[in-house]
Amino acid sequence: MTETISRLKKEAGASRDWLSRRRALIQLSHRKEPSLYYTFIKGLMDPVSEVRHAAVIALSRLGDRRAVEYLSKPRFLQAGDSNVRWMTVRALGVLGDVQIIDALIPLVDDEEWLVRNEAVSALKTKVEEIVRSADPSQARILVRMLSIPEPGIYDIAIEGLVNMEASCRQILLDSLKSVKDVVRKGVVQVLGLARDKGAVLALIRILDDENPLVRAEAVKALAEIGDEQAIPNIVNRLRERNDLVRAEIIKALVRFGSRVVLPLHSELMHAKEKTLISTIVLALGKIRNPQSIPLLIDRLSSSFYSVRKDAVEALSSYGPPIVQPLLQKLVVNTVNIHSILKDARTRNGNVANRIRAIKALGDLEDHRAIDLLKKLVTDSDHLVAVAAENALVKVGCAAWGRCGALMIIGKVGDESVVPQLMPSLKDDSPHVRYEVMRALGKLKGKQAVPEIEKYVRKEKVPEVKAEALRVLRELSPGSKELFDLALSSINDPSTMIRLVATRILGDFVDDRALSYLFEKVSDTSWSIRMSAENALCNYGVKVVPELVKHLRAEKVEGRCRMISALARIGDIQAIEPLERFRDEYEHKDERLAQIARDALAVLKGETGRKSIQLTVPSC
Amino acid sequence: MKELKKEEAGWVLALTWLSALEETARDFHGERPLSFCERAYDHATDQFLKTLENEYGINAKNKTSIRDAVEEYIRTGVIGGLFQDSSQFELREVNPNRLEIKVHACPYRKSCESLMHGGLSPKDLTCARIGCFRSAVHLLADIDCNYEVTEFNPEQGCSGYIERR
Repeated sequence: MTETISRLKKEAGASRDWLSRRRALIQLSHRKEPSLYYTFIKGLMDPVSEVRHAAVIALSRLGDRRAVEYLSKPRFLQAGDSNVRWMTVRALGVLGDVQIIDALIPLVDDEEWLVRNEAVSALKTKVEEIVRSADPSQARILVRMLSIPEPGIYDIAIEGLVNMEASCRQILLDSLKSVKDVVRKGVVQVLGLARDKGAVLALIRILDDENPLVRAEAVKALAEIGDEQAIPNIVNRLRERNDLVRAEIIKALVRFGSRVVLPLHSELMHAKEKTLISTIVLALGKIRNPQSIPLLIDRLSSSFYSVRKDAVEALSSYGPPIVQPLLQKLVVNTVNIHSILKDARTRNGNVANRIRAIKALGDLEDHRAIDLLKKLVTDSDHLVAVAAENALVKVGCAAWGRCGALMIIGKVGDESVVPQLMPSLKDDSPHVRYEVMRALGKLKGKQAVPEIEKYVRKEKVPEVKAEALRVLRELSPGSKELFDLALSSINDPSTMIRLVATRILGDFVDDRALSYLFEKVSDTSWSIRMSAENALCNYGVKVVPELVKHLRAEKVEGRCRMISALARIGDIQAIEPLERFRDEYEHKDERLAQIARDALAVLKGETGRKSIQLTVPSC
Repeated sequence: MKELKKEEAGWVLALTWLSALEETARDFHGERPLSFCERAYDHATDQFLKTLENEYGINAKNKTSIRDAVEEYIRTGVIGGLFQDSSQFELREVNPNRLEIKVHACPYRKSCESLMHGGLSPKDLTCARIGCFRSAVHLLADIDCNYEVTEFNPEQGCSGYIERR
């Protein structure tokens, strides 16, 4: 045995062949003989890196801690050979104490993943040692590790500090004053994860930190701890402008749940600034306390779109039970306001009386007063103009409130609510009527069809009428009334109404609509011309002779669409008339000749396509 | 905290005003701010082209098709410093009446991003960039168009189309 060791020692130190030296060191490494220490240390000085690699392995196996002094030198930790670095890190992980952490940290960024992995796992081992020792002085090492910009290390340090938080709280609290943002953030995270109620006051103080990441983490930590004394401080932070912190505040408030509802209500009642209102509204929507419903419904009438939108989102989260309270919002004043309007209008009357009447109109939130109020905004009397403007805001915002209520009902309601929406078809605000239509469409309220059909004939606002026709197209396809409505709307001055009417007629494929559709292929609007072409294509072959007859339509655009329709229908009877048309227009109008050529190519099967919508510039 | 570079400050200011304009449009017009914004983009594009013409001698030529008008606007915009270069845009003419546009690295994306976070769909975006292309088509080719955003993708580019009305 001794002879073998002597031979191997000799070979390790004196052999000219590096492979023999390496092999000898590896064989010796299994002997665990303390006297071999210096042989291995000598191996570290070998000019060949493979031999040094073997020496590092051997020292690691030998377990003599004195080797740390050598191995922690840059020559090994920063060796060119990644295998040497890898084994050095492993050896230091085995032999070194927690002080070795500083030397290992840079290796976490090593270019070789094996080295990086080994470094992370060695550091983990050291952190576990620190945690086991529960020595507060060593907790400082972990706090220092927080500033390393490497998620692996950061997480290890956090985990370690959380485990020993009770024994090192003072160090952590002191570290909240660190100049490094990432250290403060990490310490706050530790205090939160450890759910240390003793740290609440310190965390409340750090809510004022200049760094938003630290502030966000502090809010998160306070929510994690769940101590009620943090609530007023978090509520005071609602004006936070940073999106990240704001999101954490909302999450924190939601975690506190019903305990924050009253402070939030109180804050909401006095809030004027939109970001503040939105934050509270979103938080209340997530808490879903029934007591918040009236306040949230009020916010549907905010003059800020973002608040209205957030209120819609918040109230929608309550689901179907929110429908009944919202229906009350839709009730509008129906009493006669003629005398108030007269008082507000009368110029030779008492100004105070006029202003009182204008204010009353505003307080009634009566949309019927809109036209007058708009006129009064330019009144020569400044006080009247100001009062009218304020009243306009109230009336207008109340209408937005009804719109919001309808949006939510459309989202969370069901068909049973449809009859209760019908009175809103008489709302003076076109925005509200538009939203009723959308809600009816979403609720698939077929029972409302007769009412909507009557309503369409009276509606004056094109956007609303077009929406009503769209809803009818969806709810009662094929009905006689819808066909009549479409026919009567086909020549409406509004493009959007003509467009919907054309599409509806296209659905019917009724001969009575043909003449109208032929007219619409020459409409001034491109969308209507295209829709008319689609509608004619729905008729199929039977419409081909009529299309051929209309090929000499007055307007070029109309001819383009008819040629395109002939190509799409694909009846070969159209070839001959199209050829004549092409020859006739060859020198008169290149665009028409071109589209005729394209159509003929389709009809003769030269394009490989059975059907294609054809178009040339300006058609 | 980082200090704003001087050359960035102008953009930040422009974006701030654009966001304010779009938010106000929604304050007053609710879910349907498009006609208000379309008019604002018309004025902005008109003003931009006039300023380039009158103060810098950069002339945008009149065109006859949607695609040509957008290309001319891009050419002028690159000279005028509004766009980095024409590779910011991909144009695909579906037919002479419909042009699909992809916008890469749009400077207005933050304004849209905040609206998308608020639960809007791409269709609801008023999109200042494609909206101004629509206005340019109106001004340079006298073709009245609709436009719509079809995809919001700040990483790979937003898509939309302009279509003859």
